Amino acid sequence: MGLRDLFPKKKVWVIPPFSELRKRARILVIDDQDFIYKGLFERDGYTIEKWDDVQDLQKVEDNHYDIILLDLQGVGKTFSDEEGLGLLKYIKEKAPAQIIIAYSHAEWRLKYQDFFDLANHKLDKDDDYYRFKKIVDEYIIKRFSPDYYVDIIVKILTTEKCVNKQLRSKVHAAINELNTDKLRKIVQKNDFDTSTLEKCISVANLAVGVAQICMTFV
Amino acid sequence: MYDICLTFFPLPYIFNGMQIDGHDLKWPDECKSCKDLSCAKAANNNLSICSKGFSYQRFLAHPFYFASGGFIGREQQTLSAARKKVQRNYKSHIVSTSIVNKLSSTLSLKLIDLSDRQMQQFLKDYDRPLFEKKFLDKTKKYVMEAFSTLHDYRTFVGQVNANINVLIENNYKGGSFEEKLSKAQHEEKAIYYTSKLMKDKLLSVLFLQNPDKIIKDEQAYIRLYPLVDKYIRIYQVSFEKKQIKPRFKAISHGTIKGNYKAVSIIPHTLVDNAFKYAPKNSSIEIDFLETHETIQLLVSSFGPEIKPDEFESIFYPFHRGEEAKKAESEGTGFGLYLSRYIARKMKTDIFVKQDKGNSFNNCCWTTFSIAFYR
Repeated sequence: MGLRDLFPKKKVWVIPPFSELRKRARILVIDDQDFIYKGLFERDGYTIEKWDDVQDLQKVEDNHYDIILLDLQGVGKTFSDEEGLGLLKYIKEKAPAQIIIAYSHAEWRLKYQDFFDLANHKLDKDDDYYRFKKIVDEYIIKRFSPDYYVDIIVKILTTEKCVNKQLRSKVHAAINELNTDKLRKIVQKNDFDTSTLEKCISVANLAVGVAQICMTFV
Repeated sequence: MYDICLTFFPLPYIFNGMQIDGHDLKWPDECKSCKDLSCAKAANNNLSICSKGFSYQRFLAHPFYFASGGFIGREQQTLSAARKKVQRNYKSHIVSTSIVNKLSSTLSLKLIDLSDRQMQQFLKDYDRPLFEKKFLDKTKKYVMEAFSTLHDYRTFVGQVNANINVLIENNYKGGSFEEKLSKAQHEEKAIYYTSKLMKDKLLSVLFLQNPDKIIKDEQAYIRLYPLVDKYIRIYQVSFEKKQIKPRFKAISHGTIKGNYKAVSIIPHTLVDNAFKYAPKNSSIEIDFLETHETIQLLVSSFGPEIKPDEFESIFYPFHRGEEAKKAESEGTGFGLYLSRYIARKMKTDIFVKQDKGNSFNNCCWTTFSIAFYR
């Protein structure tokens, strides 16, 4: 028995190399018009799917896609009067950890500001390919980082009421330990309602799923 | 009666039947839909309270009167329910009545002290902001109607830009897009840069109608030299056709803070104007002068003579100099207006000077300059 065997190994979250993340990442584009950069993303090794409109809402709610590029106008018409905005609001309510990059030419109209504020990021529809790629790459890395899920949970909890400063480190510890029960206790201790609790747990479960890829023994 | 915009006046006021926001306080929403308009009908200079609960007073700015309203005089006590409501909802509009009294006395003094010539200049200077406001209000309706067309143009430009991106990405090898673009055919570069130019032109219209976005939208640290260089490269093909040589006299590594899209309009306009009016075989110079607080951008080129009374008016909307119109028939006349508008929103300004002793092909060496705050 070696010296190392005397000390139990710890599991830590290590973000895999980007080339691996890019292979694993599933990108969905929802746009009633052509997404001209689809071929370039495929050329560069991304897995990208394009819908002209919402085809399978359940897949979206289940966080099947790592990143969604969502157009504002012309999509979600049967779903909501607010089109892309209505769809975005719905997705963010059901799956708060879903990364959505909004893009449109309509970013100047006041009535669409909510759309852009709700999304994780916004792009001009006429931005160059390298800008689209840069933002997508940034969010792929975030998707596989524990801090992303911690930030979402802390944001959900701090919109309800003011909570103590140790919340972030407690949530971080729970995520790192893949301990959703610990997270449940933190939320219940602070008297949050059931729907807030369920939102946090759904985000934590997603983090646990991602952690299967990222956790490694050291 | 002159149209005066009393830009130093802090409180909301009415002049010539128009409600004008004060320098410090804007008209409350309740006042905008008021049909009673007691403030506008004020017959004396006493501080009073209207039916909505706001204070109002008539002021004398010799030789004319105007009324101010939509504020709350702190020491004016009343049991009115309307007054209590506005006091709760408009805490920022509470003003000490002693300040209101001081305004009344200094206002009449300021204007009475001016000589006739000074009064004319005063009226001319203050007329401009009011003119700008009237211009924006009048054109807003028509531009809003055209917004759907603007959207179509943007979609079209977006399609062109995306397709040329795909062509360049697929046809050329290189690490970055810049490297691939540098290897592209002349025509491909022209399409790419033209789509960028068109996008920027459309941006100008959008900022004209949404001026709040200049300072409210995301502020970023901007390196000025690469921004200017970007436009020099965009116009490179056009410069070559006219055999114009752009030259940087100095470069700058400094950064300024602002809305990137809004700030971009300024160097774009200056480079665009320099290109448009510079005669063939001439030159364009770009210079940067840095201080601890500012980075000054200077764009110089040969351009049509600016007459003495045009040095201000070339910054008015839809206004071009006489010689500029003869030199180049095309031109909207709002590039410089918008650039100055953006500059002033950023608490700076654009200036122009001409060296009539330095001329080439009936054009004078003209320098536009702007000092951005770091």
